[in-house]
Amino acid sequence: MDHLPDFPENPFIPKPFVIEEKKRESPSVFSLYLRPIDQLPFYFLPGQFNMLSAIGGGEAAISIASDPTNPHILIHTLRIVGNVTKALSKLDKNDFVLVRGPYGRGWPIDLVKRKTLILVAGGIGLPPLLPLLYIAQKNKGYFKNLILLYGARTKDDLLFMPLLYKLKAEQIITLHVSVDRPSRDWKGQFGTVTALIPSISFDNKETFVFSCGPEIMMRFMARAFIQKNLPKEHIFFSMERNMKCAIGICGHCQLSPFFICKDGPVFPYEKIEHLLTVEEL
Amino acid sequence: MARFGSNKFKITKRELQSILDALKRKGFKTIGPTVSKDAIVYEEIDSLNDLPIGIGDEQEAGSYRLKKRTDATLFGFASSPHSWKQFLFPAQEKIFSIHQPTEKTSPPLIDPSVRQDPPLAFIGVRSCDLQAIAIQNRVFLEGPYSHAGYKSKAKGLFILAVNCAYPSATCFCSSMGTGPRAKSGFDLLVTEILNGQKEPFYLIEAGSSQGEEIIAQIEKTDATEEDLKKEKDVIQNAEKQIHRRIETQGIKELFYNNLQHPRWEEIAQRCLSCANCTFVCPTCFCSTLIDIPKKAQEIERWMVWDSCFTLNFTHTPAGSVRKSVLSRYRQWMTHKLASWIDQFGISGCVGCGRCITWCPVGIDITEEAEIIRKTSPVKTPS
Ligand SMILES: Cc1cc2nc3c(=O)[nH]c(=O)nc-3n(C[C@H](O)[C@H](O)[C@H](O)COP(=O)(O)OP(=O)(O)OC[C@H]3O[C@@H](n4cnc5c(N)ncnc54)[C@H](O)[C@@H]3O)c2cc1C
Ligand code: SF4
Ligand code: SF4
Ligand code: FES
Repeated sequence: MDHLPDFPENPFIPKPFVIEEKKRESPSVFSLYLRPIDQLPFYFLPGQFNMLSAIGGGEAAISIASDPTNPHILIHTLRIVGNVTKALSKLDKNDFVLVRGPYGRGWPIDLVKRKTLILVAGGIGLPPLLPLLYIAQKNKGYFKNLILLYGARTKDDLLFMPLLYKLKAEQIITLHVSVDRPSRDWKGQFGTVTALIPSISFDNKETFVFSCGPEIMMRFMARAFIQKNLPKEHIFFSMERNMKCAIGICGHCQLSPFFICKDGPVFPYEKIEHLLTVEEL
Repeated sequence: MARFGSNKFKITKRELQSILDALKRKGFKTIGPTVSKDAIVYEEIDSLNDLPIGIGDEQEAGSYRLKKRTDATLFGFASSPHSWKQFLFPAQEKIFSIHQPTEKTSPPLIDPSVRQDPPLAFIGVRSCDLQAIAIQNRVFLEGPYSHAGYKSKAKGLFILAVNCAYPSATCFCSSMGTGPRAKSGFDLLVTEILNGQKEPFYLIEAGSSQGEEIIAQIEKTDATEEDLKKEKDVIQNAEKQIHRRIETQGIKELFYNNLQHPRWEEIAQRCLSCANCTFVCPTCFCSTLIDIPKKAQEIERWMVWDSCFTLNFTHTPAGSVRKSVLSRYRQWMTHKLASWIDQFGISGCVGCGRCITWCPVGIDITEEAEIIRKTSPVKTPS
């Protein structure tokens, strides 16, 4: 994973990838399995993202959701929310997708080696955490413990449940799932994902938290962990802002001094905490 | 640095024309100030006759007027609605075109559209704008990624700078440490000196070996002590005409400490969120990318100027981050004067005054900065 590509001469030029498989994950979410047409391996770090577009359909920042140890297949999971994601959702097997990346600073994976890692995901925040699950699966013992707290609005919005149950059965992860609005047939936890935090126990010094989801969820989540005496500097957020260039020159993703695209998207909570409480910053 | 600038020469207007001619012979596209639609703009120029001869300007917050001068100066005016950024970072620029072959299984063909335009020579760049160019160079070239379109234009750039002799009422470069005297970043530097006559003469110095080469080709005499004194007077006079200022001591902390200052609301009541200030600003660099269908199977991707004053700028699936005008004005001013320093190690404002002159309601960044400083609940050492 240390052979990341050099900075290209013209960073705006994408590479065509071909859709090898398209999977529906929920009514509004789908995954694209992509293979580069030049057959070159695509290396990335967990937590990084790509700029993706259907030809002529505009670009969107999408996290890389694949296994970092397999650079031959690139997976992206997208929620259809607007024009760009809709155009991508219309593509099918054998169609082409334009990809540029990988961009940004990902999860600090060296910091959490042999430590307890708690992942907190809300909704479409799960895909950027998947590479960590694949690492745990491929490299047993990489983490001392891997705990996933996963929340979605309804049962139908839960993504990758077969994979998660499988990892749970193989004792690779401890899984806690919660839905905001439980349907009749839902037998699990309900309420916000932060409500799961008080019930789990961990060793403060040896535990880290990586989180991706709505900002408000991440803030409440951080507060709940801090209440349980987890040091602030053990908490990491993956942030979302409008992104156009992904390389720190279009200005869109600014959060006060930071360009989320190049200084993030993953930030130590400590570094951005004071910025998140200022409205509309 | 000391290699250049120690030799100053006296030349006439005619020799300035020879310099233009020499640049053209070398294949440069020469761009300079010219009058168009009651304003001074920057366009391609062929000869000194295209320059605003004997034209000055009067500027105030929210107003701009050309006026006839009584002399034949070529550079007798201050900042204009244009800045040089439009040539290095055009308001719209094609990034690439993409062709999807009819055969659906053939991959799309991407044409990176690197254009081999002639190199540019900027004629008459003021000190504030030299600094603005240096700032945008940092933004676009010092990455880690660099913007290929900008690079292709910036790398062969020739700059003939001019010491600013007639700042306008909205200028405040001296307090930003960016003028009126040009210090670096030019190939040639001239000072236009009137000496009580209608026709000015010029002192010229080189800032690069390319500039030296040009000077070697023209008719000149060594500048005398007296000439140098006159040059000094021009700069000192210019400094005396600058009345606006921003106190920059601790300015980053000042703005970071005042994100919740009540003044933002007061400004927001007046601000039209029209984005004028960002478009005239020589350092604002924001852009967006758009896909434009050309013909069947052919798409172009363009980079176009954008502004943090638009509601869409921060659009996410959860809505815009900066919905209120307050938050957008705060972003603009805080970026210019504070967060820019964290991002690029330098202020984002060079004190050119354009945003003050071209604000339709006359919002004045110097006045607002002063009010925030005076009424800041947290005192910043000054
Ligand atoms: C680092 C990062 C990683 C991400 N990872 C993922 C991921 O893995 N999966 C995923 O599904 N999403 C992810 N996202 C979110 C994703 O980028 C957005 O959902 C996506 O850009 C939406 O594009 P859209 O055109 O479909 O939606 P829209 O919400 O329509 O936005 C598209 C663009 O068009 C413009 N726009 C659209 N509508 C308007 C409007 N009404 N007014 C003004 N402007 C408008 C905006 O400028 C916007 O950039 C990620 C975002 C970031 C920053
Ligand atoms: S903020 Fe205003 S004064 Fe400062 S560089 Fe931009 S336009 Fe000029
Ligand atoms: S002030 Fe606004 S438009 Fe100018 S560079 Fe900053 S964010 Fe972009
Ligand atoms: S997305 Fe363009 S600066 Fe971050």
